[in-house]
Amino acid sequence: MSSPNPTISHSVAAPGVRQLTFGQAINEAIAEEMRRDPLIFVVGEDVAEAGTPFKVLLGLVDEFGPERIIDSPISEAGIAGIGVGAAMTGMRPIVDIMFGDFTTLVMDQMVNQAAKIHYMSGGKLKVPMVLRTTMGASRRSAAQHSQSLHAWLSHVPGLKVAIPATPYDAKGLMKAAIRDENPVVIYEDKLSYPIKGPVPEEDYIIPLGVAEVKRTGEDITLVATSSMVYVALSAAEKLAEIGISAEVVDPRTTAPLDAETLIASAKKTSRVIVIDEGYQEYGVTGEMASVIADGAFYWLDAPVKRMGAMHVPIPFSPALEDRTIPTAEQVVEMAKMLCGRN
Amino acid sequence: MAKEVIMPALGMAQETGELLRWFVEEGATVKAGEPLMEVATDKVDETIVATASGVLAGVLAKAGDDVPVGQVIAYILAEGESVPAAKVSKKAPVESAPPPQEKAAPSPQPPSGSGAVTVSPVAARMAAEHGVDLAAIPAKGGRIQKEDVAAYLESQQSAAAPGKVLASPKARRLAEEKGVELSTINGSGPDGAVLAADVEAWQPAAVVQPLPTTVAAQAAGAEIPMSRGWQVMAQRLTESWTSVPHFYLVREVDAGALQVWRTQALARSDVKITVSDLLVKVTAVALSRHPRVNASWINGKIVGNPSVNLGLAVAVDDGLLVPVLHNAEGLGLREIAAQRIGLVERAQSGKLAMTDLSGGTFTISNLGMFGVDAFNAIVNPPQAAILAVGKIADRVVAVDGQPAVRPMLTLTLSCDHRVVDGARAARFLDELAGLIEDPLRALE
Repeated sequence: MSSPNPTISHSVAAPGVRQLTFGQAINEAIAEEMRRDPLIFVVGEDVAEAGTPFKVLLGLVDEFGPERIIDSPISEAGIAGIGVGAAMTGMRPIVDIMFGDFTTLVMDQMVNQAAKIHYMSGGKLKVPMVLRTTMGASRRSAAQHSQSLHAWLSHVPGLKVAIPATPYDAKGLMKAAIRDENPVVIYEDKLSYPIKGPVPEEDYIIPLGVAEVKRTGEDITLVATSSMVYVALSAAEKLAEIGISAEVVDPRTTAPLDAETLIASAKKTSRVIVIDEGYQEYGVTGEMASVIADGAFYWLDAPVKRMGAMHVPIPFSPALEDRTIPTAEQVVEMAKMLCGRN
Repeated sequence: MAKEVIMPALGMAQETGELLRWFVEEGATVKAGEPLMEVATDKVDETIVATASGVLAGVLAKAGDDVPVGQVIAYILAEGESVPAAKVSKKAPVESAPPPQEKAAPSPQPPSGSGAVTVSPVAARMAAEHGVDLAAIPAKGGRIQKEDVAAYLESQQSAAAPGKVLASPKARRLAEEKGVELSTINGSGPDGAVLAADVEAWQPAAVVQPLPTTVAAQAAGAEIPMSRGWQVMAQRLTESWTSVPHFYLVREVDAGALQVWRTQALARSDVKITVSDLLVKVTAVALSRHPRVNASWINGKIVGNPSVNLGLAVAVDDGLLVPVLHNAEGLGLREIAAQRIGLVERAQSGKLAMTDLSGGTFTISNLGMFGVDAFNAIVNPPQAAILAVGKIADRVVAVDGQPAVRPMLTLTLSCDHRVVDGARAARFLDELAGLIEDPLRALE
């Protein structure tokens, strides 16, 4: 990601609202919910004393003790199974999978168990668990620790998937996920943890399945998720300098997807680029582009374009890694082309 | 309730099953758990037992029939039940599976009706890829080759291209809403595709096309794009209207002699001579006799012009053009008509040269063909005057004290008062009226 703007103006931003980092907002959301509900516990690798490698959960073990902030062995499938089982028996677990790349190990628990049990038990059982994990490249973490695989779990009915971009959204979506009676997966972008933004002190949630227009515009819509919201906002700034007014829409959740807001924006601007950090092929961008093309077809003046990660294993080499993820410059070029300004 | 007997699925990928035999005859009694029928799949033959007790009825499949999995083939009836009538009628007679050769993928066949022609494998593949019927491809030799398919595809492409209009979905919707034919719009998108902006900028051609009977409602406050030509026209006419002190002289003239002249001239000429051409001729004569009306206002000075360069106002798609007939005072009628035809054509096709548009000393604007009786034109700077010509219409006028019906024409001369005064302009208009009513005066 090309140096994201560390601040973002938010609709709830008001004078006097304190600034928290994305990581602090997650921490606060979990802590507040754990104080409210003793059935909530966290299980994962290095979640207790270490507070995760990204220090997001730092301090929680001091307040809630090792019984509720549980360090597990390296055993993703096991802890996901513990989470599903605990949720079925009435607990509200938060399972921490350190890298999104490792969700490959929890697929059976999530796809065949968590997603299906409510349906297959005729509604007798439910799985109110949260699976926290990460996404995002550009940390020089190489091919096995840099992927954004949120498309995989978004594909499965029975799972909800949130991909917050801002501290405000991260806290609101995390609280909504914890209170949801269904399994919810939250993908947190690793580079977003230090990003600061306004987070009000009062209790609030953001309903799952509600997109937000992060910037209004007239000429082109940039649908962007997670880290790509900053890329899109930066591109919109550059486009404004050459007289192209770009609207930035953040779906905030991939499942359920707020198709209505995406289509309404597409109808308004008649041009759309969908930007997501996951692999472009068979990815989130393809689904969203299809939903938009279907719903706004007769309002579109250009083909709906997708921009995602390059179809390669994310390289370790910084010079190469930076070329695999969409940049603001690439978005600007694509937008100019769609607006006939090349 | 009648119990359905269906063709069971015995394998994961099984689509049909063959009924080998019934163990129970129709109308006979069967008990649940007793063998009912024998079914064959690709892999196994299996005995199927009855799932209910009763009388076998409504048998729809016989031994040897291949039946889709899940299809009802009979009913087991309890006492007092009958075969559901609606269901019996719905079930089509069980069909046998199609013969296997129809299922096989079609292999490249030589074109029908020409048994001698064969196809090279590459040509067959190319034709299949492009969905071309091999029978439609002419073969140069006795065999359809790669080159033959390529030539055929190329000819099809060039034939199909002109009819295909590329347009964005939004442009198509807007064009439909406005009632505009997409093929009449120049596209600015990739490969000339029509985009929404192209449709929005589209204007009906003023002369070539009739005006639409209904005007598509413009969105309130929506800006209608202007062409460069329109912007120039708007700017120049505003300049004229706000800086030139206009006055107008109106005169009705009898166009009878003009019409006679036109009939005679047409008969003698291979060029189509119009009333406008006659007006150009007599106006040029009148101007050469009244050079002050042919003068210009340039930088606060009255500047005379050595020749009569007559501008003709021509309506084009995006506004108004005034191509110029240079040295009109020296031109014969046929030369005037020929030059006028060329200028109007070039104006409407956007091919006028700068010399066609510059140097005008006087302008004629004729709206007679639009049914206009009379109008006031705006002076075209730096010219001193412009003549607005209405339609020739039969009117009742007094001739020698008696009412008579005459073809009348109304001329309105707009003048720049800085160059000509009312009396000078009136003398010019009187000269012109005299020439129109008695064209022979041009020879005096």
